[in-house]
Amino acid sequence: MRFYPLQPQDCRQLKLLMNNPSQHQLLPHSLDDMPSNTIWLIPEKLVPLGFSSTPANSPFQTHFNQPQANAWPEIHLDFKPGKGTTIYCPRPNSNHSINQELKQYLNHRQLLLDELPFPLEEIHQHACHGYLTYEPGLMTKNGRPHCRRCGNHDPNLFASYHCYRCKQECTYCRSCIMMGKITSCSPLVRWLPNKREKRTAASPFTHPSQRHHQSNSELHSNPNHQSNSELIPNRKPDPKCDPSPRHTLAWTGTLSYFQQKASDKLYATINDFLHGKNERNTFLVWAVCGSGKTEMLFHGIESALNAGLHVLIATPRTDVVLELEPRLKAAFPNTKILPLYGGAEDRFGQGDLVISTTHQLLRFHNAFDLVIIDEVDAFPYTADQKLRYAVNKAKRDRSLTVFVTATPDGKMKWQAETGEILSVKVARRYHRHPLPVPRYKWVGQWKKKLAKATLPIPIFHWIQTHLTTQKQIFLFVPSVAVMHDVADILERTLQTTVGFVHSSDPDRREKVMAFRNGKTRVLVTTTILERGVTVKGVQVGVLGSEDRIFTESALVQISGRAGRSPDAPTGDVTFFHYGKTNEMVKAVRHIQEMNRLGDEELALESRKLREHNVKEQNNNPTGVARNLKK
Amino acid sequence: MGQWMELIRGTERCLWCDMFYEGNMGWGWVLGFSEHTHLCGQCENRLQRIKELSCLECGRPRLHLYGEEKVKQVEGVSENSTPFFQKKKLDHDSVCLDCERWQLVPPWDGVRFRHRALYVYDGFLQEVLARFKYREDVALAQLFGRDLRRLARRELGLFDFVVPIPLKGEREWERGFNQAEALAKGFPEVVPLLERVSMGEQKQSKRGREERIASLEGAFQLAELAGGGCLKGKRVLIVDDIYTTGATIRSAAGVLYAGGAAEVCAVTVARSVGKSSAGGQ
Ligand SMILES: [Zn+2]
Ligand SMILES: [Zn+2]
Ligand SMILES: [Zn+2]
Ligand SMILES: [Zn+2]
Repeated sequence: MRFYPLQPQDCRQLKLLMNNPSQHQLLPHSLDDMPSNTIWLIPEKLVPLGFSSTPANSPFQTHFNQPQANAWPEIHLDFKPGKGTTIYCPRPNSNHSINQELKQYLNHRQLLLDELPFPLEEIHQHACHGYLTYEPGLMTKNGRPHCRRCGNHDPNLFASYHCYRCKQECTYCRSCIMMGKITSCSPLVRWLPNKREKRTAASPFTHPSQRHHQSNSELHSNPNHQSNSELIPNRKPDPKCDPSPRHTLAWTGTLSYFQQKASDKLYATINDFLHGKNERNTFLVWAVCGSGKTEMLFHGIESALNAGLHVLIATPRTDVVLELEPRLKAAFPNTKILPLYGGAEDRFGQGDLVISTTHQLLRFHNAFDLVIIDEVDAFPYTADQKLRYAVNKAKRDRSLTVFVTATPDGKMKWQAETGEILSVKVARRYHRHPLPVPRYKWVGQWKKKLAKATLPIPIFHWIQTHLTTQKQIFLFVPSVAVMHDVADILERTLQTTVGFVHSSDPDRREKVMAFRNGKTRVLVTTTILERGVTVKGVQVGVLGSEDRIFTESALVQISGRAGRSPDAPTGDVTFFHYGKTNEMVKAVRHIQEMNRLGDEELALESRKLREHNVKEQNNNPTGVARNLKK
Repeated sequence: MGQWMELIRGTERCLWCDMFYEGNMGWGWVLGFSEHTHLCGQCENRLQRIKELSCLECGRPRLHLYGEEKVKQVEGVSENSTPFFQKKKLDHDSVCLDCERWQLVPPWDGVRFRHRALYVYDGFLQEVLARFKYREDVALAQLFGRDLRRLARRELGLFDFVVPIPLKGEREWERGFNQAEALAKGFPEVVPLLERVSMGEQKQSKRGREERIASLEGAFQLAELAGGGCLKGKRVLIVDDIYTTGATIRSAAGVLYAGGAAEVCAVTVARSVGKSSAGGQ
C-alpha cells in the first residue's frame, strides 16, 4: 500500500483547504506541535480521486502529485534529534471517542492492516487523533532487507515481485509469511499508549496496578521526555487495590527436592523483580530432561499473576502449547489463559497468561512483564534466533525473562557460570535416578554398508539383545533418506514390528501412538518425539552420531529419552559412530557432570536430613522411639 | 571418490521447507542434465506428477493410479523416480465423459481444446498453492514456471501468444499479484489478451459445476490489445494454477476462439481428480 508523506508545512497548507467536514479526516487533529523533522502519512486509498486530478495550480496538485506516493518514505524509527525524519504522532485528542474494539485488537500488539477487520477510514481517524500510528513492516539495513516483525534478515528468505498495491518492485518476507505477508509497502499498526487514560475494568489485561509506559514514538515526537530508567513502575502488590488474590494455584502435587530448590529460587527472583531489587533480568533454569519442568514454574507464575504481571510462556512448538494448555488451566482455574498457535480459535484475544508459539508471538509488542521460554526437547532446533527475536519484541522494556532448558547454549552457560545471569540447576530427574550415560560404539563406514542394504553387525547385535529382553528401541538417524533405508533393512531382517517417523510426517501422531502403546517395537526416527512422551524401558541408539546434525544439545536431548519412567529409570544409550566427534564427547561430559552434581546435592540433602533428625532426637526423645519404629 | 561426490553436491535451500539440502545427488550431473532445483528431495517426492493420461483432451490423469490410497501412499515413501514424462500413448483417442459433454455445446462442437497439468491436485499441492495464492508467496511460482513451459512445449507444441487468466480488479489489489501471471512469467510470449468483465461474482471454488459454468458466461472479454484481428490464425496458450471443472479456462478459451485464434490450449499446475468432475451430477 502506498502513502502520501506530508511535511508539516504541507499539512498546514492542506488543512486550510479541507474544511469540509463531510470529507474523511486525513490530517492530524492538531498541527501545533508538529516538529519540522516529522512527516504525516496518508494512505493512498483514502485520498479522494479528485485531489490528484484537480487543476494544475491547486495546492492539491502539489501535495498529492508532486511527492508521489511512496511505498514507504525514508523514515528513521530510532529518532535522533536533528537527524532524519520520523512519523508524527499527535498528542491524543481526548474529545475523540475511540473504538474500543479496535483498541482491544491492537492492545499490546503490532498488526497488519489486513489483520484489522475495520475500515481504513476508521483506522486512519484514530491515527489522526493520536491513538495509533503506522510503522514500516520491512526496513533496509545496509542495503539488505530486514523484517521488523520476525527479525528475518537472511537474503534467501526474501523475495521480490511486481506488486499491484504499490505498483512497483516490492520485497516481502518469506520467513513469517504464514502470519500475513509483510512487504516493503505494508505498514504495521500500533496503538499508542496514553498516560492519562485510566485503565478501565473492561480493559483486557485487567490489573489493579497502574503502570505507565512509554512508546518509542512518543519519544520520537517529544525528544525531551524522561528516559526509560525513570519509568520503573511501582508494582508492589497493593492490598488496597487487591484484597484477595485473583489467581489461585489449584495444583496440589509435591515437588522433588530438586524441583523445590528451583521453584524457590524462581519465586525469590520474581519477588525481587516486583520490588525492583533485581539487577539481572534473565534467569536460567537448567533442568535435565525428565525433571518435571512445568511444575517448578507454578509457584512463581502464581505470584507474578497476583502481582498483576502479564505472563507469557513461549515455545517454538505447537504441540508444547497444546500440552501445556490443559495442565495450566487445571493448575490456575481462575486465570484467563490464552493459548496461541497457528489455527488457534482466538488469535486476537487477551489473557492474563499467554502460551504462544514463536510465530504467534510475533504479533505482540511491548506486552509482557514475565516471559518464560520453554525451549525443552526441541530438536532439530533451528527456531532459536526467531524465538529470541520474538520474545525481545513481545516483552516490556522492564521485564524478567526465564529460560527453561536442558541444553543451554554455550553463551548462556558461560553467563550463568560468571553470574552475569541468574541461574539454577536441576541436576536430577523427578525419580532421583541419574541420567543414563551414553556409550560409544565404533561401527566403521556404516554408509557403505547401508548402500549395500545392510547395517554394521554391532547394531544388529545391540537391537537383538534388547529385543530379547522385551525392550523397545528408539534408533535416531541423521536424515530422512537414511531413515527409510534403515527401516527397510530392519523390517526385512528382524522378527518384529519396525516403524519410522520424521518431523513433518503426516501420520506422525499415529506412528508415535503405535510406539507408545508397544505395537511398534523399533522406531527409526530423525526427530525427538512429542514432549513428555515417556516410553517405559526404551533403549536409545544413535546411528551416525558423528553427523553434523547431532550437536551436543541434540545428543543430550536424545539421550534424555531413556530411563524417564520411574519404573525403569535406567536405560542403554549408545552412539554408533564412524569417528568420535567433539560434540559427542561434550554431550557425554555434560551428562556426567549433571549426574555428579546430582550426587553431590543428594549427599547434601541426606546430610541435612540427618542433621535435622539428630536435632529432633535431641529435642524430643519420644521422637527417637517413633523414628526407630519406622 | 567420496570426496568428489561431495564436490558435486551443491547445497541448496528448499523453497518449501527452508531446509538446506544437497542438490543433484544422482548421476544426472555426470550426464549433463542436472539443473538447479527448488525443492529438497523430501518435498519433491510429495508432489504427484501426472504421468499417464486417461483423456487426451482435458489431460485427466489415469484415476486408478491417483486415487485416494495412492495419495496417502506416496507421502514418505521415496518412489523410484520415473523418467520425466514417460507417458504411455493411449491406443485410441480417448475422451472422457466431461469432454464428450462439452463437445455437444458450441463452440466446442467445432473447435478443439486441450489441457495439460503438471501434478495431481492432492493435499500437499493444495497446501503449496494455498500458500502461493492466499498467503501471496509469489516466490513459489519458481517451482512450476520452467516445468509448465516444458509441458506445453512437449505436449501441446509452440504458441504465438501465452495468456494468463486475469484476476478481477479488486481481487488484484487485495492479493497484490495475479497468480497466473506469476506462473506464466517464464514464457517469453506472454501477452495480456484477456480482461475480466466485472460483475458481482462470489468466490468461485465453493460452487457447483452447472452454476459455475452459467456464471462464467461472459466472464472474460478481449483486451484492447487483442483488437484488429491480431489473433487470426494464431495458436494461444492459457496459463492458470488449477484446473477443476475446466469451466473458467474454457470460458477464456471461447473468447479467444471468437477473436479468431486458430487453436487454444491450456496448461495448469494442478489437475483436480476429485468428485467434481466425471458425471458431474
Ligand atoms: Zn518476517
Ligand atoms: Zn508493494
Ligand atoms: Zn523441502
Ligand atoms: Zn477430458
